[in-house]
Amino acid sequence: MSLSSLLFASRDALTTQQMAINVTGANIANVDTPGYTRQRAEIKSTGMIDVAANSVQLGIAVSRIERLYDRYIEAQTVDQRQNSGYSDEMLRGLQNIEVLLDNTSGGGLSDKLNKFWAAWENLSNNPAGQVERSDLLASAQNMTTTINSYQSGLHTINTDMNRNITDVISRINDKAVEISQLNAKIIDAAGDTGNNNALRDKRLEALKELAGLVNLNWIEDASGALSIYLSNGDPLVQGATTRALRIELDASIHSNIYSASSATEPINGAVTKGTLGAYIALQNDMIPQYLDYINHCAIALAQGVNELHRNGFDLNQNTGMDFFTIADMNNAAGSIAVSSAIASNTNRIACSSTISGDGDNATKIASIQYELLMNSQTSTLNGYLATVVGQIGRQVANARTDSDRQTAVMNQLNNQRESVSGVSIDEEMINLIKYQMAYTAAGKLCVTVNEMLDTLMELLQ
Amino acid sequence: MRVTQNMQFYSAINNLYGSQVQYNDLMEKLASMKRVNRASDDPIAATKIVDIRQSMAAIEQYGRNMDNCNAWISTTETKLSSAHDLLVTAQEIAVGQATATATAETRRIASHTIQSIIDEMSGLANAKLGDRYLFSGSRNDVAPFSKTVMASTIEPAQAVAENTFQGTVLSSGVFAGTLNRTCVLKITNGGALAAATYQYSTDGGKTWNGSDLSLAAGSVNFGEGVELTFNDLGGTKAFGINDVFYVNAIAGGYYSGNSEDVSVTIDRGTSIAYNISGAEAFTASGGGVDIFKTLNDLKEALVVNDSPGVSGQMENLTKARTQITLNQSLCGTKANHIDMVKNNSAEFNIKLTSLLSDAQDADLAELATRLAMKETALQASYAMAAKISNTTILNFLK
Repeated sequence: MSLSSLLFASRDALTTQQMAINVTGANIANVDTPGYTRQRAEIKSTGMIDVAANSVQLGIAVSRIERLYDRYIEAQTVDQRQNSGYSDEMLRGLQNIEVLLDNTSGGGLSDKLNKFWAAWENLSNNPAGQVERSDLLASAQNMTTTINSYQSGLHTINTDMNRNITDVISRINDKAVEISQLNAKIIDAAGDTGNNNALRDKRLEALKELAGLVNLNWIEDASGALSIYLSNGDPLVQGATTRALRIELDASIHSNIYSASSATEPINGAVTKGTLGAYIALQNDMIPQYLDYINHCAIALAQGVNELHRNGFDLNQNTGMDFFTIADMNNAAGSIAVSSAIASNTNRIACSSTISGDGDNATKIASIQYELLMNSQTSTLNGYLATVVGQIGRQVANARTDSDRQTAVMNQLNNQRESVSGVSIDEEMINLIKYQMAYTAAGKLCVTVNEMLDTLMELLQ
Repeated sequence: MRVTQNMQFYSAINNLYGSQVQYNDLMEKLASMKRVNRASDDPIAATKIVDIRQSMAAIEQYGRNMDNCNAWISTTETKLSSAHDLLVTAQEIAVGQATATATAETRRIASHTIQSIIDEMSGLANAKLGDRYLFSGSRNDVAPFSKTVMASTIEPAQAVAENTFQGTVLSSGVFAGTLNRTCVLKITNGGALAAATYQYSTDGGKTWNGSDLSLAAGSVNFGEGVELTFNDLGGTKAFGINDVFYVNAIAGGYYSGNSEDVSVTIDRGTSIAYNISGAEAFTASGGGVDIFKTLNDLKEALVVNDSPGVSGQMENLTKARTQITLNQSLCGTKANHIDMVKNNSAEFNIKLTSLLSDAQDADLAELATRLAMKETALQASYAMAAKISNTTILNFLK
């Protein structure tokens, strides 16, 4: 065994420890980088010499830089991100509807209805009273305005959904492009472990973000490329190619989503999770459902009141007039209004059931509040409203529970991931001390060999 | 398990968020004093709250209705009691003037007193509360009682101002009925006489005959002798749908109001007729005597110095007093009914208030305690968050 080989050994040790310190440095630098997976320099000894039949290991090298992660936890995270993206957005969307339809603290439609009925009763007490008549008109207009505002509020939420969906689709497409580009680089850099790790970290992070937006299936092939499919099998990313999604608005101002492989048939049904899934569900199910409820209320109210009002006589003894008008039956809540004839002349309010000017028709109209007009003749208008309030309340409460549970799951997964792949400063510092000592020792070895060589040189003089 | 710095920071932040959310929630409840601030706080309670608020609003309105009724009834009662007093006076006069000591001169003087009693009685019977006659039934366009006797009449036909029809309509016939009534005709299909159809009502429009009839004949018979005749000027004047024509038929006597009830809802599903029928109180239609006729007869008998005629009205005057007293007690019955309903609604309202409070109000003592606890937890979270950075190896590597 030669002294020079000892020198080589100390050189290897120095570079190896330096490499290890580099990796430690990278870990420390990335301590709070999202998606960063901690790395470890795998060190192994190299070379071996035999001295009198004894083998001695000589030299050291970094065999590879290892990425410490748990494939199962990462897959779980991608799965659960789809759910948490959905439940968070669903909660936000439903809360918007809840605020709009809130009737628990007064000032809602239910209160306006109560005032409307009370105004009819007041009129029945004094059928010719001008004050009672204008009070009734005001409370009726107040009520129709409230119904209109429910409709326009839901309409605004729907328009917001379109904007949100457009945003999300462009983010999905951006992420798909990012992943396909990373795929290309990962295939190119197949042999280069260090670079590969950083690319894979980035790609996994992009995949997780994508999973938060839409439900997807993913598969990594032998070349290292990640392919992503929507739940109906339509590809989003295949190796280095991206298949972008696209949206169109339909006649009812709803967003339809098309994939590259389904260019004519919307794939809304396949999107059930992630932020996009929540927006689609809100737009296609929740908002139309509540619009329907409000429309039913508006139609039942108008029909109930009009039917009786037509049979009554106004102050000028005319009969057969409607109290409410609905300009567009498909948008009853948005177009219900007090008939313009009545709005311009309250004497047209037909509160009398006979031509002699009594208040019986007003009493009859006021008692519509107890009539089972809704839900196939099983509930009153107010009962129906109460059910709607209860329903939105229940949906929000359920969505909140879902969202809380999903947050807990994500926290748990995050903790598990951090536990395996996160950087611990304590650990890195201790490693640093270890590598530094090893580096110092290797330096010392080099000095010692140098001195030994000097000693030899002196012998030669 | 490996615990990394990120885990510590995440869990510190999550704990802080969690505590803050709950703290805020409690603060909101304390500030609003309500347990349910939005439907999702308690969906079932929210449903109840909407229901209860409706019931309470209805009770409040029924309360207002009953106050109106009470005002009406007590005014009616006062008027009836004054009417009774007048009748007592009239009877005293009759008793005095029926005796042999009375002379033609005293009877002539007494007849003036009776005339002023008639005038005053007319004032009472035509009394108004607000804009409405107390004793006219549901008819409100004319004073219900006249001081002098009217013949049975069919008033001129009326066409409502906003009718499309510009032809003429005339009433005719001799009214054979015993109760005043308003006959109404409503056009259900427009056009010329030949094409138009109508429905009719003999009770002012409350109930209709139910089927469309052709107007081709040009005249309509409402029964009991009431008839309307239309002239569309040779087909040049068309009817519009919902054109309304009506005619009042008066049975004769002193009363031109009708016998309809005036009613209002005083509780869910319960309405009360709060008026006293003028016909029942002052005319013979309820089986009693016609008060105005009796007084006029008495006056006539006094004017012509007809002693048996004067004493002949004494029995009628007694009947009239009973009739008024009967109606007074009817007022009392109505007032009692209302009082009873009012008490029940007041009790129900108290119950509803407590139900509403149960459903939506916060338990302050409990909230305050929980808030104090949450505050401690929040402070602990802050203290913990501040400590995280002290617990790394870096503090020991000097």
